[in-house]
Amino acid sequence: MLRLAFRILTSIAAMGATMELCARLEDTLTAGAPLLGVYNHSILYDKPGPDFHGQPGARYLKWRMNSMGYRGPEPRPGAFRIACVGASETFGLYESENQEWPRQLERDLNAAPGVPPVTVINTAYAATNLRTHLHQAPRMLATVHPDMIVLYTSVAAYVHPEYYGVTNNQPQPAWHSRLLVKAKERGKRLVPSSWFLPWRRYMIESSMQGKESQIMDRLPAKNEALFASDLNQLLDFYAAHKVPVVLVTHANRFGQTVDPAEQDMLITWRQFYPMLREDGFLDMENRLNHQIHLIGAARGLPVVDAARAVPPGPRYFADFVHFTDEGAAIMAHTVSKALAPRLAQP
Amino acid sequence: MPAPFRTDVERRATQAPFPATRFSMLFNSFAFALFLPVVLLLYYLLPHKAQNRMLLAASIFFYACWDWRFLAPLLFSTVIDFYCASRMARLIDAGRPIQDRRPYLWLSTVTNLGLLGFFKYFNFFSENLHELLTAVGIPVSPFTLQVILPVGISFYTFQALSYTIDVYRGELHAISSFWDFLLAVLYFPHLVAGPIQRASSLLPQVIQPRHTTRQQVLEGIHLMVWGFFKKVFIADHLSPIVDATFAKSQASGGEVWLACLAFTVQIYCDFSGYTDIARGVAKLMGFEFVLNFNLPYFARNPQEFWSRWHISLSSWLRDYLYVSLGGNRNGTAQTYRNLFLTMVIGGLWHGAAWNFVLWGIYHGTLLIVHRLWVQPWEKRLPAGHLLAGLQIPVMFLLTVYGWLLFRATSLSQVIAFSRAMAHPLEGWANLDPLSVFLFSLPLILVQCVQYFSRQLFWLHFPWLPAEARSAVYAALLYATLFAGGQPQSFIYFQF
Repeated sequence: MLRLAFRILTSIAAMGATMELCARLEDTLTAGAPLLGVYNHSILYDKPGPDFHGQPGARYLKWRMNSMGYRGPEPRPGAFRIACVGASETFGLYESENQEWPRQLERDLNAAPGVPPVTVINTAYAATNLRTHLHQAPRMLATVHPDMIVLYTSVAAYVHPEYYGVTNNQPQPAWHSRLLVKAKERGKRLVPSSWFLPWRRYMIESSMQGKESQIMDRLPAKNEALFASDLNQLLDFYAAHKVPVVLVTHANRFGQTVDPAEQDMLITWRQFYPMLREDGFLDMENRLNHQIHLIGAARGLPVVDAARAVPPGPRYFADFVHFTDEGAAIMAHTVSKALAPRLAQP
Repeated sequence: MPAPFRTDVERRATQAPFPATRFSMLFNSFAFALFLPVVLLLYYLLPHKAQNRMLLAASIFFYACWDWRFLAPLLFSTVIDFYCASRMARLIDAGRPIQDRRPYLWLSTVTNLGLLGFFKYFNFFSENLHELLTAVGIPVSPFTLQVILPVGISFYTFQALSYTIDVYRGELHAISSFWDFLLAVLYFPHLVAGPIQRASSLLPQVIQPRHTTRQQVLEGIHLMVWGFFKKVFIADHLSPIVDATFAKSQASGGEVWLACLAFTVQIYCDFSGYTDIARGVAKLMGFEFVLNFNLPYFARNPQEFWSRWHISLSSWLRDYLYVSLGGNRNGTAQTYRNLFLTMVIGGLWHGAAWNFVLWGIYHGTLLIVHRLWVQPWEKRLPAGHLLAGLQIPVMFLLTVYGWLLFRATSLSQVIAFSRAMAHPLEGWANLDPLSVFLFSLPLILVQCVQYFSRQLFWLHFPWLPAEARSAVYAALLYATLFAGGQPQSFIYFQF
């Protein structure tokens, strides 16, 4: 009996070790990952914290950093340089490689008649906001030397004004199971998202337990004012360096009203910001986009209304705010339509 | 003049949203991964009679997940078959002559083949009749129906027919419980793509209490893991390579050869993968299904190929069609005619298209040529590894060409690709034969082990430690779960 139990245990151990080895071999063969070293998204960044920067030449799955530490290829020498500043929506999460909107924008602009050669540098990183952009702006301007900045900032971070982002690029140890990471990803793709709904509701409720008084129906006016102040501060910085800026409003999967079939996605969004009720999210988007319009008008900056141009729905958004390939294409097309007349040579 | 920024993306943005996916119970689907454990759990908890009722309900649910309307023809033919068999059994018990049973056999045959003919072949024959009449100058308007082919109709029709024919011949006694008969026809592991179970083999397993042995569980798991690996890792990775070539009307010789070789592996892994999963699932419930594939690409001649490939169909065609046509009882010419007809009908069984007929003609011709001219030579030569080493590659290449006929999308493609195959060295520069080879390599290695060790359960060697076996299973599972190709439906579902 003891012998049988031992054989079962050693067999299970052999299975686990083999599958982990397979996971690591696959990473090595398909993405050039180290067999025994650390391999997760943290290798894309130089350090945790708000003043982090991309690791030059780093590569993780479909994400590749150039020699400047930004996602995408090396900039084309001599071409007009556009820096896209933003968060994960701009960095690109769900799009196929080279389909994130800055890459598509570059292709669109270079195909447009009369537009000089353009190179687009995707300076965005995931989990950032206006304050992180301001923190990173000096280094970005010094390394990229952009001729123009397209600012597509994430707005939901202003649910927590104290939020500085970059909480998820903590490095994991080399022995961290890659098999479990892959299993989690595969599970997410296999199971319909609506099945997770009760669990998500539970997570939201448990995270707000004892903090019920902090739950908000809508974004407080002071958060909106802080957003406006942070945006002005960032634009002041860019203006001081004489870099023209194009503002872009924030698009989401829901548009102006939430389709009942999309309610689960709204709850998924809320899981990241549990203190704001679901009904408050679209209101927040509208108000902060309105601030972008107001500030753009006050400063005489062009504003591209992506919030209206990108249609809502799962065809264009893989989750609540991140684009699919098609969504990114429409986003790029919308921005390029606004930029091309400005860039076109007579 | 078009707007300068109007792109393909803008055009696509105005199109209708993606259609919702249908909830179909593919073996390689998430739905089946939930369905099977629930069924197994209930199965092990229930006594025999309740097991059968539960399996019947689960099988009906499994089939209805494709389209509940498909249940109607299936239930109709099952009721007719049960009635006919019961009547024939009574006539046998009463000692009446065989002629008295014939009307019931006809009723069952006409019902089954009528349904098959209507759902599967109506449009094919209608379109061809229209073309023929138009060609001879008789103008008729085309008449086709929007018929949806019920999943697995070719399989369950043949299975049900085997029951009534066996009862008619007095080789099997009719079953008294309609529900048990319905379960035998509907049992979900074999329902949609076989293996075609003979009533004489399956019905006793349904009626008698089943006890799943440890050996059956081990073999069942082995078959399922290997079957899923073949389908998801090998076949689904090769599928895009094959599809890309067969989407063209012209291709270089190298491209056609590579696509045909890839399809040779793909179709085997796809269909034998399905069969292995079906057999494995059945074993977990104490059922034993017939062996459907026995290393077919190691066949030395066409006759041997058909005793190794889709065995349940080829033996069905032999026992119920070839023998009914007269078999080899009426002289050489009649034998060859029967052989040829059997293969043509076998080809047509696969689908209502001329390329399947052509494939049947090709294999019928191979069988006749082999019997007429090659077999006498083979008998004179000393049997041994050298002869087999020559015969196997030749038969393999003949089989590969046969798959071109099977996979082709039109007769013009068959002609163009056949011409291209005459120049096998052309056009390799732009091809990626390494991918085809690497995805096929696990199959080649395993089949060599199976062939030389004469052990189909290739991991069940007594000298192999359990840990090593577990490690191989883990690697196969990993490849299936995390490194599979783009999910595709099973090829034989369309038949």
